[in-house]
Amino acid sequence: MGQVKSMARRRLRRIPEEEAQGINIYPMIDMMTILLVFMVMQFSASSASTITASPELQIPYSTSTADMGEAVSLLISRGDITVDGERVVDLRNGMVDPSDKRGGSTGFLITPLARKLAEVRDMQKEIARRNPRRPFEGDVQIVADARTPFRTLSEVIYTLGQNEFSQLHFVANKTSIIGARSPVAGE
Amino acid sequence: MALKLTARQRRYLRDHGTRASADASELSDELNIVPYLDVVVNLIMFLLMVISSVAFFTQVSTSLASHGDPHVGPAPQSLELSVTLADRGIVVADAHGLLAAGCETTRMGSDAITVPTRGDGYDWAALNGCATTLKRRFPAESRIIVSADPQVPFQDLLSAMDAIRVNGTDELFSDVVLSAGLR
Repeated sequence: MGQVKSMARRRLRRIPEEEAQGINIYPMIDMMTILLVFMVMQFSASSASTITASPELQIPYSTSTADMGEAVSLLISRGDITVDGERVVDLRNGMVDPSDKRGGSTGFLITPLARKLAEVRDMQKEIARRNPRRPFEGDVQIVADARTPFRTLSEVIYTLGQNEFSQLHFVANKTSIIGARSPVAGE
Repeated sequence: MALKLTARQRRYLRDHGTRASADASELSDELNIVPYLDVVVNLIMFLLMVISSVAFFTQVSTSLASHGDPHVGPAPQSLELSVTLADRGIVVADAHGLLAAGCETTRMGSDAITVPTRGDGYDWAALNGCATTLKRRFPAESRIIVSADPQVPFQDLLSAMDAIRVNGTDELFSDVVLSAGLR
């Protein structure tokens, strides 16, 4: 039996022990984790992540190269005006109904919008009072449909001005050609 | 001389003279990170898709004319340049009156249009040329007021701002003030 055991040991010595032969993927995991954290930060910092083009909202084009900033978001589509995600005024083909304006059809102040903007302004001023590092500067980011008539835009702008929002930032698609338009913008 | 083995010895040799091949997951003591990698790769794909669409957006900044500026003493001299988008074209004016085509001189006739429309809409290249001429004549001026007729679409307003803001890499009128007033 001793001879058989030594034969078994000799056989075992001839067979190499199995070793782990996988690639070291730890550097790749490190890199991916850093990339993931960077992207999550980038994503959360961008308010444009909520903009979705639709037949009701055709984003216009601009040759500007300025980066998007943070501000109160005001969205003007063909059917409504939304402030910070809350629907405030209904529009009919991009126009404000005279009953929603002070002074009727010739009026400029959109009353439901003015009420909402006053709320937002008061809240931002309260935040600014408690945190001096976030002063109220009257910034507003406007995402408007490319077909919105200037009459509606001027009513919105007038209402914004009445509520101390004077720094306007219009959101647009980047282009290199002045006057480029989306396929349905000119309809 | 070859050793003649009994059946029991052969079985012993078979059982103890070979190594049992281990499962891949038993080869090392490390954690199985493959599921984690799957999650991370999927998340990166999703975020890349979202961020690439965000990267196509830009913003055009403008301000409203403020009433009640806390100026003490005389206000600084300004040309009061203004651009108005109308039905038949673009009206450019300064403090002295409406400007003629080319924006070199003040217009004397009754036709108010400085840059007439072309077949397919406004002539942005001509407006850009006009703004370049004005900037060459008044290099210190950077403020311009933009307005439009009620029916003019927002896209045209943005294009007008683009045309008067820069020419290639040269900055023209960077301080664009939007006027809510209508003609």
